[in-house]
Amino acid sequence: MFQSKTKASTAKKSLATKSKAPAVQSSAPVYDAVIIGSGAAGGTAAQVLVEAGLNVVMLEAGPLRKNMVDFSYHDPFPYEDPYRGSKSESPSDEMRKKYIFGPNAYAPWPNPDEPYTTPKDTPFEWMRARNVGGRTMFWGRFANRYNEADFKMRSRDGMGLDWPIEYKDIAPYYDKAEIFMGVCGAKENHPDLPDADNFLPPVALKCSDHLLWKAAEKIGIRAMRVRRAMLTKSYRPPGSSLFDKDIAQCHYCADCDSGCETHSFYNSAFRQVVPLMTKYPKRFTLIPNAMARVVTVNKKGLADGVAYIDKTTGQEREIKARTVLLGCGTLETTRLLLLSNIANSSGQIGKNFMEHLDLAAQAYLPDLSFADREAGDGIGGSHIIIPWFGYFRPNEKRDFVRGFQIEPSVRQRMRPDKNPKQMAGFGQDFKKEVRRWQGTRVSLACHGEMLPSPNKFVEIDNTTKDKWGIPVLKIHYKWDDNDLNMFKYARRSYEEIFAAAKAVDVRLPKNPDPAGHSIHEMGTAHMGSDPKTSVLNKFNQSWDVKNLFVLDAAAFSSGTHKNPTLMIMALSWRAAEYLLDEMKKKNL
Amino acid sequence: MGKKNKSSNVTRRTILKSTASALVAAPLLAGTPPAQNASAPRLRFFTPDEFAMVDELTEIIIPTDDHSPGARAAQVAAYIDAHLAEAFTDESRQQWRAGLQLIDTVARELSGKPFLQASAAQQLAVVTRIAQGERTPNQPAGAFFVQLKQQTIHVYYTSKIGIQQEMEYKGNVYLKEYVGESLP
Ligand SMILES: Cc1cc2nc3c(=O)[nH]c(=O)nc-3n(C[C@H](O)[C@H](O)[C@H](O)COP(=O)(O)OP(=O)(O)OC[C@H]3O[C@@H](n4cnc5c(N)ncnc54)[C@H](O)[C@@H]3O)c2cc1C
Ligand code: SF4
Repeated sequence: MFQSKTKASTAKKSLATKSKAPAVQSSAPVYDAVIIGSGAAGGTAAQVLVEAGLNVVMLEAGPLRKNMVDFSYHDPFPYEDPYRGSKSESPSDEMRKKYIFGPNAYAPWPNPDEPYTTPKDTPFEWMRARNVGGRTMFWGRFANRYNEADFKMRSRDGMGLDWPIEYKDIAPYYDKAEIFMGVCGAKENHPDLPDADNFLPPVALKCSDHLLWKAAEKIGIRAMRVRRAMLTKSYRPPGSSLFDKDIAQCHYCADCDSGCETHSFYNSAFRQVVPLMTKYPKRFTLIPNAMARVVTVNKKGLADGVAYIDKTTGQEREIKARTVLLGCGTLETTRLLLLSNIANSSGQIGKNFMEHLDLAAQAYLPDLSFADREAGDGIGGSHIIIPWFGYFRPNEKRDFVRGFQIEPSVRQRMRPDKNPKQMAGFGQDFKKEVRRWQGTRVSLACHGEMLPSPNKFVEIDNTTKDKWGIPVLKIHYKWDDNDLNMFKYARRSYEEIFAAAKAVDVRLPKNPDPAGHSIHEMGTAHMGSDPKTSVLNKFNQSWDVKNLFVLDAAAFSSGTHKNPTLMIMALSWRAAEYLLDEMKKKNL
Repeated sequence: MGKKNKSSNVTRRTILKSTASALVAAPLLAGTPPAQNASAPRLRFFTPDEFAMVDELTEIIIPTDDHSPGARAAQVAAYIDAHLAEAFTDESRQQWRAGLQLIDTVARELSGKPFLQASAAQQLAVVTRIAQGERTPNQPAGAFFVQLKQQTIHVYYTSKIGIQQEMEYKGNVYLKEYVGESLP
């Protein structure tokens, strides 16, 4: 048990970084837990701890956005805008500009208040969200499980790290996270993606899904129905106390990129944080616009709270808690740990940095020319996925290790699929030519596993400070041969799939998408079985500071090629249950 | 053939409105013609003759065919008129005026008449002539054709007719069920 009467002065002494901010103001209550960050990681732990009776405070660096007021969700039809979208930014762009920051393809604008640096020759596109809900407000919703082998790849090929846990340790928490979110899909018995027992119905396929599926099949590559954390029927998560009525099912607008007005896809703001505030106003406190600066530590070397900047006033404040849980979205968590100068006896914080290999290609399928349009947009993105198919090529010699999954992207669009401004002529023939391409455009993207290396790490850059005078992160990410060889193989696979689909006007990438593009940062405070070589134990608990937990993908030992959020939630859920257990046993 | 999706016939826009979304409407292009009367909009820049020419030219570029109505029905000329009236600089207004005069010149060359008085076949010949300039947009006629065509494309394919009828787009509405699509 921790003394609940820790004085602000003790905390002040232990601040790792001197701040120019006015004297720390201590607030009275001592919480059972302070959770930093309100994304998938923070939201999930908050839910578990508060439902179990703990008194929890959550700090979030961004504001709490009001549903339907602050989110645009959908752009109007262009003809509903008198300027046809030519004068102003679209409502979605305007919205995104306020809440998420790149620079990357999705949010090209940087966050001027909170910069980061990279070496000149290796740029990194770090996409961050600043609102309650973090990046889950805009995520792609792929919810894919790791398989048994994914946890132990080092044992197989000698590269990277093994996890200290196995599939059977995490499977019950996959169940919990899936049941809570609601994941659509079907049992497919695919070696790469283990089935779940609780899928919501899968989404019916689009024409182009059928064609890509068949094309892949022709060359021995197996596609399957996509698994996404979205509701294909109205749904109330069984076992959760957070909802008094069903959450609306998806209405198939495909504009998930702009968020979901009915919360039919999981986001942590309106499916966890806001319901917690409503249901448990006494036990759960959200402090928005609160930028954690440093985790404070008492004389015993235990965490006793957090000092944070109130962004609305610029003042520094402090929170006291018996346990500290970090879910700032991997790299911000890493920055906070480094700035706090704690939990790093292994020297591993900032190392073992991984993201996913991405590459984008596009083509047209003439088979779809003049096809009847039967359906609307469907869900955002394709309704199929192509899991890693190396499992079906056991004897193939490849010049890289590990695998990737291909994520097609197809949808009806309201604008012409092929730009008419680049087509010659006029009149009936011209009009028909534009129509001929409509509904035929498909694109492929992928996520591939990249291995950790000494060329991939983050550190504190003391030469650059954010708006509040806090040193920023410097991100190093340099591709290795394995990454580039995988890129070439993936590109060849795209080419083969497109060829089998008789696609034309195929545009393949010369290079991988810029580093950072996957928005899947992982591994910078990884779990392991040895305190000397890892930051966390197998319950996301710091080896050094036992009441400190890392909830987000910083905890990952390896990245695999699977989208990380389901794993983040499963781990966070498990860590929270472990914390409760340890509290019960008076170990915490 | 797959079943048609059940659409509740409520557009997303309606829903957004009814849920008190704070989508700020852009200031309306003052004087945008009311939708019903395409032939006599309240003009803000073009003279009636110029408007008639643009209306004809845009319809020749994207005509009504057996699939869907064309640029005239989509009121492309009226949008161009309002757009030019609100243009920040005089440059594009001058370009359009000069371009239309150039078309009249070509019409006189080919038919002995100004464009509006030429027969449909002659008008088509005029557009065919200037459209040859599409590959040499550094010449005045080519440059104007490119401008005319691009603007026609932009306005037509962002119009309700262009999206709902020509492109047969079925999305951005509130679907109760997604039944999917079958292969052609
Ligand atoms: C466009 C897009 C598509 C994606 N697609 C997928 C997908 O299909 N599948 C998938 O699995 N993943 C996907 N992701 C990634 C997914 O969004 C993240 O994995 C997930 O949101 C991570 O959750 P998190 O809680 O760790 O971090 P975040 O969601 O990033 O939340 C972290 C929160 O912490 C706050 N914070 C940061 N620093 C501080 C601080 N110092 N003090 C206080 N608060 C702080 C931030 O403001 C933020 O709100 C996608 C992401 C994007 C943007
Ligand atoms: S497609 Fe479904 S989940 Fe996505 S934004 Fe639309 S309603 Fe929400």
